[in-house]
Amino acid sequence: MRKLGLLACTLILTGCVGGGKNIAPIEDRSRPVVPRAQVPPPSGSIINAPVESGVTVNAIDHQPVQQVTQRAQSGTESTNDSWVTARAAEREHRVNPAVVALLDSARTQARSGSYSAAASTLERAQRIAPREPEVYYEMSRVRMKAGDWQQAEQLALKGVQLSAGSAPMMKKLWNLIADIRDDAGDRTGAQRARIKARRY
Amino acid sequence: MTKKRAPNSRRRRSKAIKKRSFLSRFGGILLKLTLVLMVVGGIGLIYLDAQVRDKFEGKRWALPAKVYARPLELYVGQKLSVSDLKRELQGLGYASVKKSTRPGTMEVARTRVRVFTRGFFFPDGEEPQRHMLISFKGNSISSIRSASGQPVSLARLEPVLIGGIYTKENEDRDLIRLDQAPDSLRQALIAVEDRDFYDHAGVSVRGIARAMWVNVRSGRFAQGGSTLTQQLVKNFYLTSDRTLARKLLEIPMALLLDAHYEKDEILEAYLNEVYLGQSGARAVHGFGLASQYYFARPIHELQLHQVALLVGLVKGPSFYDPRRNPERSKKRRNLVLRLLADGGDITEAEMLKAQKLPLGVVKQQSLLKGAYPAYLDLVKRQLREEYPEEALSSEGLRVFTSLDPTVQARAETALVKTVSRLQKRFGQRADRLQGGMVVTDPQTAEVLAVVGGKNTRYQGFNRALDARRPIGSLVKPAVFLAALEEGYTLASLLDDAPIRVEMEDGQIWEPRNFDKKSHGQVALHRSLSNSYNLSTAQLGMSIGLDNVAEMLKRLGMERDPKRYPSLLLGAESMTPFEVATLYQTIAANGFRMPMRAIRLVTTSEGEELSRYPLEVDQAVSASQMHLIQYALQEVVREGTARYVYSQLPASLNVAGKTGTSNGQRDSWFAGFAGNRLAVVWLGRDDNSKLPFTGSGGALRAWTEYIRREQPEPFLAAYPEGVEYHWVDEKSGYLSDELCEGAQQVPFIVGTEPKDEVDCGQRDPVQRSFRWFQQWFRQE
Repeated sequence: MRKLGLLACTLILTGCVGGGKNIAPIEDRSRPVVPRAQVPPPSGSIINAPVESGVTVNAIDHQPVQQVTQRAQSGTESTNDSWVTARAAEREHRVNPAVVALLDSARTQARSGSYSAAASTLERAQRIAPREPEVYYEMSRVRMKAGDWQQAEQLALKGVQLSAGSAPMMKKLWNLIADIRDDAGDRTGAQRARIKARRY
Repeated sequence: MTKKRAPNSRRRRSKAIKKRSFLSRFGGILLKLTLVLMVVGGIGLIYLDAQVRDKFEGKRWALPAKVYARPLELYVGQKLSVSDLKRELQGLGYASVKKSTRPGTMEVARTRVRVFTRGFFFPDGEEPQRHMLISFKGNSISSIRSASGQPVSLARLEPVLIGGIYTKENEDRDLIRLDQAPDSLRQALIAVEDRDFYDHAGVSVRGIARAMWVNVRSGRFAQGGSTLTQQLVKNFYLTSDRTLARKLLEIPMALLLDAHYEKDEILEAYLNEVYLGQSGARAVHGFGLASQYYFARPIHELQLHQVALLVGLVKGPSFYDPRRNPERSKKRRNLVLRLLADGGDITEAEMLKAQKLPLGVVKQQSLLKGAYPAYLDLVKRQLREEYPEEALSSEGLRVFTSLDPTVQARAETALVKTVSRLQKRFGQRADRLQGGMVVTDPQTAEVLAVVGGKNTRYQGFNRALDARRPIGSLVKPAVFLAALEEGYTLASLLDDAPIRVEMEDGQIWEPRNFDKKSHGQVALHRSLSNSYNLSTAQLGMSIGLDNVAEMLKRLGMERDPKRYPSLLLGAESMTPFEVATLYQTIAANGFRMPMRAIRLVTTSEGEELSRYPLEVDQAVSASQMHLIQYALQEVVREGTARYVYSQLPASLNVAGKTGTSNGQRDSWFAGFAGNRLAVVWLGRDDNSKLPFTGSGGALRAWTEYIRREQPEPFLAAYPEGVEYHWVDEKSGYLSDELCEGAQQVPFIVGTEPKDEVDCGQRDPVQRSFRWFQQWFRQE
């Protein structure tokens, strides 16, 4: 697991790029190595079972994603992992410029101690991009600075839940949770969060 | 005092002495009296003076709290059509022009809108005036450029003012400063009401003389000689009853006011005090509000003919009401324009041009104020918990809400249309049909729209907040979630067989399926998607009522549900708003978030008083919630809410649950897409039987709303600890994707079935369960 995380990180750092559609990857790292004989088809592709009557599915501009990774260990590392990192890198780039601008001004506001204004700005960002983990990361940091550990942690957890597929974001969020728990005096909890962070 | 003649000298002498002493006494009394009078008068004057100054310098008016809708954000990629933007700008009173060159104007083309915004002081920073060109592609913004061609990453329009909280007198006003008023307003007021305003001392002898002359000549009371200062005193300090004492106080007070304050200060107070109209119970005071009330735009954007109309109203807002008496109002307006021209303030040509223009008054109904009684009701309830009534109606607080007027309009249309369609279809059996609806953003828990009934402008019974009705099958996700936590899986087989429960009071509870049949062994997900009552009751009894009640509370129910077996099938009564709270937690992957209608309350100067930030609390694990979300999608794809996809594109992933109460008195649907959650209730106020179920009624309104809204599809991040397996639905065993009757179902890792069926053939699968794959699409 850890190796895989490190590998993914390294690949991201080296900026490995693959082609593909605009889909963020889905990772499931808790999953045991493909347990059954009938392995799922290559990641990102549609299972081509014949479709008839009932519900038809027309994916518009994106491909449905089912499950990704794991196969890194079963011999197809390069393709799969480059795919993963491309998605992750793309995701970083695809944050709406409006949200980027709001995140920037929220950071500035927070640095100058205007937590209220920063919170308002982040809520604007959240309304525009409610599935962007970076927004929750910043929201959590603002609450942490204001000493609201409980909400800080919950917001970070919400970020974690939206970061599936982005190892760097997962790492960042679990490290933040560790810091929050440290600040709140929960040493063991912090330790657990750091161990989680290291998995990515 | 009469003097008596003296009868004799002695007496005369004595009388003379007496008289002298009387005279001196009389003189003394007179002197004393004069002194007393002077003192009393002086004290009175000082008292008057104090009163004049006190009120003028203190808080002059009770200012109602102002309630704003959410400001519309503009950014590239924002899902917004040209007509959505146009409607918003119209709501803000923007004028549609050929060339947008000043704030408050817009140029609307087919795929582009040029707009000059007014700017706004938000509590988190100032939004400047912007002159922008917004381009659209399909139903979203493709670019925003400033006048100089620079890309604009983000802009905010002003928030639409949706209402206020008034005093008992129902006075309402928007304060303005003199420098915000157009020059023509000052000129016209002076020309019409008080020509010597800048020269007299508060009272104008010339004015009175002129008025008398006019009155004598015309033989009737045509003109009053009151100066603007006197009019202000009359309205501002004195009661409206016409007593002599009041009339006598008016003159000294006007003189005092004039002595103490600058002419411009007095004029500014006058501009804000004067009564200019009546909107139902609400009294429209001041030119700031009158401008909004008659023209739906701020005073400084008014043109000459509009200013003249307002000034004409001073003489009699009801008599010259432009909406009720347009002819009279126009004559009066043109007279004001004539006086302006006579006084040399405008040219003859300007006058003629302005006189030709129509009144240009907006329809009263198009004003957004008063358009959202149900939403405002929610806002006021929340405010009243934290602020005294007095503060709300007099401090001029600013309340920023998350009401989205576009969403509100779509929700209203969907509900109203569906109700009238159902009434047409079912005739008498559906008369007096009512409904309530709540729309939220499941990601932020903000309440976007509230519909309180089919008459959406009616201020009465707010069904979205107050119609507490049995929720029927809407309760089932809570039962099934509790079961999943107890170790059941989506593939667990349940016994859909009759059940009899004897309750403590000896009553027998014996539920039935809607089709009155038993369905034998059914997979848990199928029991939910087809809304089978028997298997749900069996399951609920086996895991215990406490578990179910606890789950309801974890999902956000505030009351403690009664632990009767009938709880399992939704005997518990809830309001649409409460139901939305529960489904909010389901849509947000188990994160409970208190629903918020108010974002922020500030003082009139913009200082923050209270904030309602996002609060999240993980109440149910994301992986368990993932399984329920899967089953709720099956409801819509293959279960009781299949109707949805006869109207919506299959690519739009949604999830939800139908509900019908016992005896078919309530028709419910609660469901969500990616960024919208809506709960609809249809029923009657007298609680009588309906000719349709949840899917025949509420689901129609819900689908109609979603069709109009075109929300983002629902997508779930693939949670940790969940994996999908092919399962044979009949046996609940693991199967193969190529086997008939196999369906891919999510499991918590380790809970997947251990046994396997072998279908032994490679025939193509007949059924398709591909819908859930879309679910994992990420933006």
